Amino acid sequence: MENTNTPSYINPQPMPVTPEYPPTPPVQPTPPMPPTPPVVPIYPTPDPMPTAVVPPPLINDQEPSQGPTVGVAPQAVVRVLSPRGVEYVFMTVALFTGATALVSLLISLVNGATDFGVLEFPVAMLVVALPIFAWLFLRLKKSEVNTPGLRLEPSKRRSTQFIQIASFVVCFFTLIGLITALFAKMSGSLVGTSIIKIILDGLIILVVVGGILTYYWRDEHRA
Amino acid sequence: MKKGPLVKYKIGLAVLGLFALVLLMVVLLEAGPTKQDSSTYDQANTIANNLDAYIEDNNNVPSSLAEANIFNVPATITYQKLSDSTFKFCVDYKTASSGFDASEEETNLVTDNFGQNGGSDGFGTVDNQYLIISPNHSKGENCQVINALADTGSGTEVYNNNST
Repeated sequence: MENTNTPSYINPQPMPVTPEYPPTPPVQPTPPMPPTPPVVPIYPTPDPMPTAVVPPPLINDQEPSQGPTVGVAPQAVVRVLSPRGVEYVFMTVALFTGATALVSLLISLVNGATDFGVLEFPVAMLVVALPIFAWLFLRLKKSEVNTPGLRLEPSKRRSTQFIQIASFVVCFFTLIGLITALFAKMSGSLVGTSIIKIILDGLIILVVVGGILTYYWRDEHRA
Repeated sequence: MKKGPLVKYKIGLAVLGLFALVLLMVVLLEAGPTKQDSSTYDQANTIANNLDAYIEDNNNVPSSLAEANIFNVPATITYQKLSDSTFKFCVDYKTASSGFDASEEETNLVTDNFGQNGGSDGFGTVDNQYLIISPNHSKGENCQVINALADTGSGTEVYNNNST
């Protein structure tokens, strides 16, 4: 018995397959592109940044601290001088004190002031500063001769660079003062002061402080 | 250990040490006379104040310091009446006191501030008729001629016997 309850929308016959679009033509192979000339950059390209900062080697096989270390540069929170660096600071203080005393004494002698009130303080400064400076200087120099690497130690260079900068500033402004004094003498505005004494005063400062600058400049630039 | 490179530094430091030693000896030798001069200055200052007060009260110049009730005058201080209104006052110092300040001189040079040193050689003109003892003086006898009864601003000459 035929089932008549089959809905009409159901077509038991297979539909014929008809192409909806015309068949596409076969793809033609594209010709290869000519090689492009290399691009010349206008500005030099900086070196690529490192992707990670390699931490310094651990001392005494210490365990690394917790947390990721890749990409983190450890920063020193407290900066301290090395034991030699402290001695260089002591020597720097003694050097400037002694140099100030020496300049004061020489200027006093040039100006004919040799009385007790003028000499007492500079002589006291020199008597204290000179032996301490001499002891520290010879001790550190001996260490530098025995250990050449000490010359490049950061603590030492910090002190010697400060000496150079301070000496340069003093020489710089002393030269300006000397030239100004010469101009003032030429214009007649320098009254009551001997230009010779001013020039001698300036030369004393330049010789003492300039000598310090020259010594440490040559020491720093020595190979 | 290398000792060669340090020899030149040792020589330089030795020269500086010798210079410091010489100056130390000078200071030590000057300490005693300076102490005596300091005492002389204090006494001269006291006498000058008493003398000025006497002249102002009595309106005349005393013939001697004793007349002005000033006693125990040291040998380093001398007084001489020149006229009814003028007198000569001398103080003998063993050392000089220039008042020179080398550090001020250095600072003036670096900061272009010339001729500002407050030092004085102890000579010059005093702008009043009163006897004023300056802390800055030369070595030897320092004398002043005071016109005590003159009008204000007449000026009195201060001079040093050694240089005149």
